[in-house]
Amino acid sequence: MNNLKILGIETSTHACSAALCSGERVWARFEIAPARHTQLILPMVEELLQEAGFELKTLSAIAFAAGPGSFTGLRIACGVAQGLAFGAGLSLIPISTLQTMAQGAARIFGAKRVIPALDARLGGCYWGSYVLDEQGLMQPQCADQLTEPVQLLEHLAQNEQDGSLLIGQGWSVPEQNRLPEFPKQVDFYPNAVDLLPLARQANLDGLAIAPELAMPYYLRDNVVLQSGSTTV
Amino acid sequence: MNILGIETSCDETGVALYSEKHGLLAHQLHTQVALHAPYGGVVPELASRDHIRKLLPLIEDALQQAKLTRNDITGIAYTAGPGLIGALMVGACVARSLGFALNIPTIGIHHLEGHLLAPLLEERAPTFPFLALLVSGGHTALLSVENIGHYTLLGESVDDAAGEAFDKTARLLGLGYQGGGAALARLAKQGGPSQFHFPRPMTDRPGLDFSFSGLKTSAMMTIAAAPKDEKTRADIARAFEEAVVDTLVIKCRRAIESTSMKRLVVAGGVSANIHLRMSLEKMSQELGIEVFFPRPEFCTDNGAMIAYAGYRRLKAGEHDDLTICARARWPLGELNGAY
Ligand SMILES: Nc1ncnc2c1ncn2[C@@H]1O[C@H](COP(=O)(O)OP(=O)(O)O)[C@@H](O)[C@H]1O
Repeated sequence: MNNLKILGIETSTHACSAALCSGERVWARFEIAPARHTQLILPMVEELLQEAGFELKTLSAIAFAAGPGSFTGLRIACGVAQGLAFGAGLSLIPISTLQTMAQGAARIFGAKRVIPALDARLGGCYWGSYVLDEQGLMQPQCADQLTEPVQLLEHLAQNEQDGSLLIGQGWSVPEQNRLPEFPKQVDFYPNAVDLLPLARQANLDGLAIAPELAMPYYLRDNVVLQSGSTTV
Repeated sequence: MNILGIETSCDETGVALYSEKHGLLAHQLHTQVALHAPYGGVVPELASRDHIRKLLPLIEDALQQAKLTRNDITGIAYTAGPGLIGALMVGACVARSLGFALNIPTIGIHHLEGHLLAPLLEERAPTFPFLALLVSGGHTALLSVENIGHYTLLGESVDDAAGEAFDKTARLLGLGYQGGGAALARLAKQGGPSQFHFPRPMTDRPGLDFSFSGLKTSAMMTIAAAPKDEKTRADIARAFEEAVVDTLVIKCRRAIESTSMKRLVVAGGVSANIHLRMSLEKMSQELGIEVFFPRPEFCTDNGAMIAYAGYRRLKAGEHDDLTICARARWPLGELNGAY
């Protein structure tokens, strides 16, 4: 089971990344590229497959960061993943973008408790709370949420011990200087590399689905403003 | 060649399969009209969300209808613009990635080229060169079509499109977003000759450009001042339809006379209008030319026209690179050649 071959795709924020694993071997691409995801993502996938010497249809599954994040970005990852999986006859594994970020914090900083947050615009933020389990995978302590920053700070005051690492651009709120005891990494982006271990476990847990069932995980559902215009 | 066509530029998800040997094999359409109706217009974010839900299931339906499997597809065409960027992006991402996975070429198509070539899906199809009147919700234009990818813009609307004028007037007549030009045309059928008269904009001066915003304003003032009973509304609808049709016919006649073209192709949503079809048929007999229309279901947005345009371009050897291409704006003047 350990030599599963999984491709991961991530375009939820300004970063664009793709990664491929076969067992313990990993190939990856990552770039901060606002508004250039549609130019970069397929060439990244092609390069990874060439480097690894695999054909797409020999993979076990494709994982993608499903959200929350930029609505258009989420649909790029989901649409690309759908097209690739449908064409190659593979199933899809949607993974939370916030969980992917938390997994990245474990990889880079050795973090054990992480609170990832993303700017949700309109005065809101997306956030989650994650703790590392014995297998080295970040597990959610509550459902990913969309709230005002104030509520996130309240949650922090009530539930979290010192030592939780705060990551992501959702922490660039003015109130953050009320939280001196928490270490922060604001310039932190989700990376497809961190989808891979989570997807491997999700695949074992039977969470792979048919491509037409894979949807973005928007979290914000009231997208019609009174004026009739919409959020992006 | 079996070409999969994908259309997601606005509020319809369209998928079709076109075969070089057998013509159109399948055509599936999902319309979002009911989804947007409560808001009185298309809500872009809701449109994008619906496209990504419906696209793969529609592709599967089309394959089933054509009795093909995904491995029988030899090329993919998708609408790359113009339109709602989020909606276009869904079709472009799925199409380009599916092509990559199947290792087949893909091509981004200009939505209006799709409309323009829709009459070529019919058994009685025009041959090149021809004159084309494109009348849709977003565009009104006269083009000289020498061949695929060789178009000369002869005139276009300087403001509103004909379809837009139909839609706005339909709304003023209380017909709502769902109704549009088709509902106005139905109401007009109940109307008779009346004292209502609307201008034929820009027909009194030379040139092939159109303008419909004045007509819309005139309709607005007339509707505001007139009684609201059914008969009066029907009379206004009829007078309005006559004004638009007359204007379009006058410009077509002028274009035919100045280009000496022997064939006229009419495409886009407004080409479904029966009154317009009859008037242009009549004109064509007078001038001794031929006129061609798409079947009514291919007048509005659909995947079949995109599959066909893609078939022609892919056959000519054009295709995309790995960049996923979607453009909200794409001027008619840039429609020629490769991109
Ligand atoms: N029978 C009809 N008479 C007049 N206008 C019509 C009729 N049927 C559809 N339309 C108009 O066609 C337009 C939609 O055409 P379409 O080609 O789909 O436009 P676009 O692609 O620019 O959105 C709408 O403006 C609609 O009102």
